[in-house]
Amino acid sequence: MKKAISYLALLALCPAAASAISRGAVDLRVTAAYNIGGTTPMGLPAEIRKIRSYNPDAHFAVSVDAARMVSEKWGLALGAGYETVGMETGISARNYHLTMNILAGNATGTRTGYFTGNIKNTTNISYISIPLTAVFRPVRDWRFDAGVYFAVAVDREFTGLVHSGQIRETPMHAAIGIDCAEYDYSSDLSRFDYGLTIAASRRVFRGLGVRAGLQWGLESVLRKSVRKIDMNTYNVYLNVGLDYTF
Amino acid sequence: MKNKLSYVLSCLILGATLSGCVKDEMPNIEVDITGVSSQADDILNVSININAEIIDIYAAPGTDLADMRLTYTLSEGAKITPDPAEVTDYTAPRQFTVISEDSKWHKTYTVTVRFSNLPTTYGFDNWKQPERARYKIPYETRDGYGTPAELNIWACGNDAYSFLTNKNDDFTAFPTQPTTESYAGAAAAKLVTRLTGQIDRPIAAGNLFIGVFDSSMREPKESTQFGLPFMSRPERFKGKFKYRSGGLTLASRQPDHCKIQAVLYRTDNGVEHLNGFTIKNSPAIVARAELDEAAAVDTPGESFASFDIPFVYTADIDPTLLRAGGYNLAVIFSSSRDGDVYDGAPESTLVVDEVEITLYD
Repeated sequence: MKKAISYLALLALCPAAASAISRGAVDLRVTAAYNIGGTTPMGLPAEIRKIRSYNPDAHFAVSVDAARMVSEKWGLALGAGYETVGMETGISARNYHLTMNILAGNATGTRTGYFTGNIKNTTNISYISIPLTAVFRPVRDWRFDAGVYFAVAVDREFTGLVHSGQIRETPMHAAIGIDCAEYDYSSDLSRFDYGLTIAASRRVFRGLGVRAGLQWGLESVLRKSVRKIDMNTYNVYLNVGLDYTF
Repeated sequence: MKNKLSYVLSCLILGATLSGCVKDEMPNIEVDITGVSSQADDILNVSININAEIIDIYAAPGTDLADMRLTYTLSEGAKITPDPAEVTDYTAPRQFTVISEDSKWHKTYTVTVRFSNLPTTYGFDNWKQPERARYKIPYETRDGYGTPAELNIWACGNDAYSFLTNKNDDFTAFPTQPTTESYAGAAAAKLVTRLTGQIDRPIAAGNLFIGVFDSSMREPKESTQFGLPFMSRPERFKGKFKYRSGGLTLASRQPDHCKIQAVLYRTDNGVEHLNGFTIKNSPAIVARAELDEAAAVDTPGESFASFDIPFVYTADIDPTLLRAGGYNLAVIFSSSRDGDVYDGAPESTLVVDEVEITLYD
């Protein structure tokens, strides 16, 4: 959190921005929203048989953006924000190939192979995000943004707990019973993300508005090059919250 | 309110992104034979070794090996050839190939049916490296079908400790291994308690027992399945042993002891085998010969000491049940008495050789 505030403060102190704001040529807006969604594969791999549970957890986004109108209805906005994304999912898998560290079971230690059983996965990533959007103001109280964002991960977590299952190196090997195992692919998560962002905001009282938006990542969060789980996952998040335009 | 909102939103998100949601199941890749049964109730015991691709079946006395009908339980979706319904002659080992549901994997098992003729002397002179294993395990030989046949009656927990070494032939890294320092013959069995480097299971005791090790169990005490059919009345349990304890046990800080015991138990009433949980006090046990605590300590000097323990009977033997193969014998050795709860002293070493079960009559 401390990191985020210092990043935002840095951007806010940017002299060009500051002078543009003071000239009144630029609308400054701060937003605070609740992020909900998933770092999800586009279509589940066939090895995932069932989604047993989904918990979006508490994730939030705060940002500031400066919008410059070039015509009455259209403009351009550049922003900077800090947000966290993530979720907890429970799945049942069959013959899912991965590497895990077995804590309790018939054999312990690191094993790679085909796993059948239950997995509880926790994803938590914190980003510094820079959205660049086209701004559309059809009527006074509404503002729509559509554009792209670029994000840098400052904190990454992708861990899983495995319980009640079996793993075998290849189908030719005997299965090894697992009571409890874990994996941690946090360092295999991509440090960057980019994608599309759209938002709609409606002014409700003076400068205060309510907003909803969608962010769709285009970069696989699990890095392609270093892959222990065979899956491309993308950040897809809805955000709902408030904004205040100065 | 927040929960309901998040539920609705998460459904929208998940619905949009998990396009098609859970896909059709991919065909299974497994090729296990998980069980063998016979409608004629003429099987006493089935020992399946998936890694070694061997299935040993003990037939009840009086079974006509030339006319058996066995059915095989396979991994989901797998197929087996030849069709077991058409195979009736088990007087020689038969081969069956299991093909996975996705047709990409296949494994050929050798099925041998024999009458329970568990040997009663164990010299530990023959050792082999099983398929897909980096350790060695002893086997017995018994003339059968005109040629010496391998009897795989011994099992150990080595499979759980393959992380101890990366090399393919470093069998001395494992808790259970052969040694040439024998009392008689080419080799003896050496059991060493090893440090594992794991926090909750700091040691791995060397064990060797008559039975099967089934690694697919989640609880290790369920994987050690003790006992094979035995049709005689054991009187005494004798052999040669050497023991050097590694000091105090890691957990309970007591001097370490070895374990040398043999147990006879009934297999009617649904008891197929005894495992790490039931070996101590199952009601099916009728006789036990166990090296007592005072003797299960360091043996003096460098030479082998002897053990000669009577079987203590806690119930009478039913002679009809005995002749029908309704009793199993388990012989168990371990370098740390409490190895099943991961309490032992690293480097405790037990060497056993020339073990014998003497019989009544």
